[in-house]
Amino acid sequence: MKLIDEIKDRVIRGHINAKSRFPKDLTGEEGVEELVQKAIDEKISVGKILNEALISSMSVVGDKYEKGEIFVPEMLFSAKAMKGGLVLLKPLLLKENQKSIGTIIIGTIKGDMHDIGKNLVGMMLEGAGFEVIDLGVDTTKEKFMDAAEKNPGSIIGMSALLTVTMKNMKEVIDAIKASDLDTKVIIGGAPVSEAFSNEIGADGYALNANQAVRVAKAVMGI
Amino acid sequence: MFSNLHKTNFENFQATLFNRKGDSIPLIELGIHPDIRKEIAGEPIDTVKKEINFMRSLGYDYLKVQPKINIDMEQGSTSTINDGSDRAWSAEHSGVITSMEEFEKYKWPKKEDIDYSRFEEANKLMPDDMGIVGQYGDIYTLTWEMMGFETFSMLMYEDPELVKVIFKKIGDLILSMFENMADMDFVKVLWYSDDLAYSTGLMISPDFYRELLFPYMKKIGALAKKRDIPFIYHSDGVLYSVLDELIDLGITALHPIEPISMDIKELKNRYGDQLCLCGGIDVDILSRGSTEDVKKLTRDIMQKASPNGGWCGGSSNSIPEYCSAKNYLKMVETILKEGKY
Repeated sequence: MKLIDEIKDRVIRGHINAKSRFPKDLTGEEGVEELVQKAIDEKISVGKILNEALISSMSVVGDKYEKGEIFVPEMLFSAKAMKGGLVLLKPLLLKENQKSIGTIIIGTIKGDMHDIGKNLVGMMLEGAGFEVIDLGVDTTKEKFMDAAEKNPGSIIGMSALLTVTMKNMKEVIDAIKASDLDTKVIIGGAPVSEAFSNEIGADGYALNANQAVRVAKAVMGI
Repeated sequence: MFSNLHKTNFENFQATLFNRKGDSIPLIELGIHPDIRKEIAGEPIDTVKKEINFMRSLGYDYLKVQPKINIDMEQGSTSTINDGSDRAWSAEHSGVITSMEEFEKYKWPKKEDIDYSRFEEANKLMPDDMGIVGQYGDIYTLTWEMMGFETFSMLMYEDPELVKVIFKKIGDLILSMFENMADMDFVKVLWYSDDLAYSTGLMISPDFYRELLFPYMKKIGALAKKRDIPFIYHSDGVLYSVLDELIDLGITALHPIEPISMDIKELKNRYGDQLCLCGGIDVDILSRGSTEDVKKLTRDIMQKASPNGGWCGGSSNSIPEYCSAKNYLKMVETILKEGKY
């Protein structure tokens, strides 16, 4: 198998490194981290490793998740494997001045402490070539506005787990609309629906992490 | 409050949970927040007697009783997060047990520590036309909460033995509760709750549930069957991929049918001959809608779920404090007024 295909396979199967016991049959074998390092050592172009190995494999992972072939734990392994590879590529990407396809500011909305979903969305977006600014949990309108002002042309991605917290999303959208910013806002989370998204005037709604990538690209016109 | 609309009838509730058609649609709720109870009753509902009277006045035919156990999720660690309300959240990343050493150090409660005194008290006070539902749950949920979901996810594969021993420890404790509840002849419904799914699908692979959780649920199902009493199962989320298996485990009724996850009409079409459906009235509308919205929605769900019996009316989860008490009462009133066969 070619090295690029091998990396791709290991991301899809979630094998982080040689120490990882997941998946069982790959225990002891090189994982994404070792193989990405090997690719760097072999002078394979950073763009090729990023686009053909890491980004394209995460979209396969996302599809598998959407189809119910894998679940959050398996997706977490893939995301962590991808991230392990990305950490090695980051300094080289900066050196080569490779541009991200866009910037997205993410956070769980004020009052909401649940961030597994938001973190998965962040990793999928990163895996798709976005620069992700993660504001963490319990994010106030002011924090979102501040980050949006500092990053013109970015997208805001908000998530909520509860009916009681999702109401706070509207405040952020209203504040963005009242400002001069051209920031688009996409939302998601367990109680959130397309109808709610339309009701509060969001620019996009995603049901899961994979869709979040498609929606983020769509609102950017990519 | 609604005693003029409803004549308490536990047998009707039980028959409905067996998916039979009774004479009216019974009410069901897994939980009603203390603030909502207080708002409705005008005083805190803090004794068993008050609880029975409260449920009865609203038109419920049962009292749900739980054994008391202290499973401390902290024990010097910080595995829960407080969000400033009275709601404490389990940590999503790392919990109190992340290694075999921590498992062994953890002070586990024993079966003898479980307190069943509320059952005796409730039984003494229970009017003849009401009955006791014995409820507990969370063998799976407590396992992942102990570890934090992210750690649990990783250790399912990286250290499956640890996950198994925690699961067994909690599973054995909770199964013993159901054995004891089934031994009390005045407990006439068993209710097990454990969330297995998100609104988009199962939380983890069904193979894991099959290996570790379903054998316990099968034992609970057998206890209910032996007593010839209904077995309600509560899980949020989309359950289609394991629903046939859940029925094989002996569940007779499914709660709470979140509309964002499963369409109650589709469920009724596909499983209406095998399962009683419970709940389905969107908590979001109960929280943010008007009383008119609630009335309309309640009628709609009733029309979809109750033909030929086999539906207990209630919310699509529980009644949290952010729900409007007025809306909640409108739902109850609509079911009681219009839910006659």
